[in-house]
Amino acid sequence: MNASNDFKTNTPTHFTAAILVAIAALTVIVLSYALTITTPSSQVARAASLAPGTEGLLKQTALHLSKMQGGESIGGFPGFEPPDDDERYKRKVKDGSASGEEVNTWVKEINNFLRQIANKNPGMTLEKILEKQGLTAEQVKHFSDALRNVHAIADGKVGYGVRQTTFDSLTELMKLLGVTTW
Amino acid sequence: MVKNFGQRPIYRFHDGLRIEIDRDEWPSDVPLLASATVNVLGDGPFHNYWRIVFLPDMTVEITAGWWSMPESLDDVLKFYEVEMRKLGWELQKNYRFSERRASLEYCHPETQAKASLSFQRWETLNETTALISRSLKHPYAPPVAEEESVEENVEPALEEVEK
Repeated sequence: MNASNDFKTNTPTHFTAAILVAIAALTVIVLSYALTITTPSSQVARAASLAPGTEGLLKQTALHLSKMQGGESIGGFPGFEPPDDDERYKRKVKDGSASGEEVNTWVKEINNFLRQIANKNPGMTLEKILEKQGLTAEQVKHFSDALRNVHAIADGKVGYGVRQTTFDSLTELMKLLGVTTW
Repeated sequence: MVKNFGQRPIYRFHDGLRIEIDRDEWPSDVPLLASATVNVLGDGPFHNYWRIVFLPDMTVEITAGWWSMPESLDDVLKFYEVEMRKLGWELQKNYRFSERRASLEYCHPETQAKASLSFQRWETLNETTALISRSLKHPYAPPVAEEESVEENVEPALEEVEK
């Protein structure tokens, strides 16, 4: 008897609640879809204009540039944080005391990322790529300046740990991406 | 400009040369604080340099130096803003990226030289570094006309000899 009463009183309530939840869920889905296709967010534009994987490569480039600039954030990307338990590495980054060999390794890594960025986005300058990534004019300048600084540092270290081929590759890649070196 | 000529490393690149310079060879139109010393990296001092780049239509002369000084970033910026103006440089761009980073870009209206100064404060070392580069472009045209005129003068003379 009780069970029957429960059925009579609870079933319509459960049914109504289920319908309301379904309508609410549907509304959320429809609204979020509408928002995605109508909002001119930089993320949507970015996905449409930059090759997949470019953002990750830019972040990696910024991290390696940051290693030679005291671990500072470069162009709004996160700065490089050495592992907490590696005091030597921390000092190297925080004091800018890397050796020529280390500069060579870092520049080679930067070259590797820049080459992939250029290959994925043929014909585009770095400035344009960074703009499309959503960086402000000042952040673009900061990123390009950091790259120019690394180029100037590497230039002065050729023959002192930095290989000429590493330096020449950086120069060529900067030229390819429209970044002037002087 | 270069003292001890022939007694220092010269690096040959595919498009130019790089010659290391001492403090007294630093361009006199880009001032340095009296306290400035050559920045030292993990394995020794940075080698300030004078670089010549050969391009088809120009020769580019770049002087670059990485200097270190105990003054704060604000004091270094004030020094350059005042002293560069005194030397006739015009400020083109001025950026303060963060509390620890700033850059200044200048052009000299008379020489058309450009100077780019990138500053960084290193708190753990209590010093400010300035990576400075000064560049000047010299237009270049191969002396084609001169060679042609020589040939024009020589050819008739040869014909006369053969006769």
